[in-house]
Amino acid sequence: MNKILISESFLITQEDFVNMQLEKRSLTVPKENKIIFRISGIIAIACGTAAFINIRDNIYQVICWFILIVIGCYVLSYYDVIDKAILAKNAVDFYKYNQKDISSKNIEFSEEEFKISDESHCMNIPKKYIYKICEEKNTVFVFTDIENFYYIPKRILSGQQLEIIRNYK
Amino acid sequence: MTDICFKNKLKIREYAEGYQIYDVLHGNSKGRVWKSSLFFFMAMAMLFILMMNSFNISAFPVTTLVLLICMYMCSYYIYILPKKAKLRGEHIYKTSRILSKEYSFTVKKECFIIKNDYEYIKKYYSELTDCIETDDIFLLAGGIENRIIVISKRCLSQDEKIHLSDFLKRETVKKYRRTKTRKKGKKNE
Repeated sequence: MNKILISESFLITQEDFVNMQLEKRSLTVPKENKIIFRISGIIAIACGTAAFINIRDNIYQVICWFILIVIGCYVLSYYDVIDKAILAKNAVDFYKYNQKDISSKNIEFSEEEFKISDESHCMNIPKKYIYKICEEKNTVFVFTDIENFYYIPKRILSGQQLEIIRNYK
Repeated sequence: MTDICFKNKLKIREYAEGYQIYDVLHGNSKGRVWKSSLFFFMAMAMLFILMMNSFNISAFPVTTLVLLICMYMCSYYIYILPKKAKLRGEHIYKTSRILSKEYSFTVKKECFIIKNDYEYIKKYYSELTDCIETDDIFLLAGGIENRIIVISKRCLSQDEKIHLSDFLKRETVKKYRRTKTRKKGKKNE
């Protein structure tokens, strides 16, 4: 008999959706990219500042060094500030545009399969077909492959239920 | 209008093609034309500076470096990024145990239904943001889940292809687009 371990219902809020988008981005962006951007930004700022202090023959050079410092600041803060802000704004706009199509979701973790359903969509994935389960700060992601996933906001899950999900796969 | 029903099973290259098209519209490849054009013009500007100085590379190392970077970035957006998207589509297909399963596809007046042993999807045409037709596939995308749906033309008869194409053109109107794909030669799957 297929024992049901977790059964919950929830409605995705705007905050859930934005958190999901931000946390999905932090999962998918390789760490090397962030490191390269930070190092490049620091180098650009350092070179621009050093050149600004030592080489100021005319106004055009000053402008070039200033532009280099600005580019350095942009690259340094890209993943931590700029990308997050743009992503959050796009997520809010996307949520508001699709709000009429959002319906309550039911999730079920049983011994043999994971089930998620709402008004227009129903998925029964055998446990062996789940690619991976990732837990972030606010969201649990259930991946069916390297890209496609279902997400569950952690606010609807108790500590015990989270422990079951952590040991699920 | 009578419902159109058929069974469909995707092959890896069909899903990869659909994913590549979606990536150009909404993913990492979005805006690749203007980005590559920007780097192209920057490369031309650097080349012009070098040309005015008799291609004296040793006197203008920064200009030469910027020229090489711009040339790389231009080719990255034109050639490398679409290829990466296609490879990612293939990787997604290989890691998924569900995309390769057969499903039934039912086209109704206001919605379509996709069904197999694992999944049931009902989508209204008003939810779609894109409906792309190529020589080999139909690509449907949109909705809060933002999932792509790829329909292989291989499983359809000629009449079904024409009927489905006309129907989607009518129902999705401004979101419908017909594109041609370049074929380099058939590969074994």
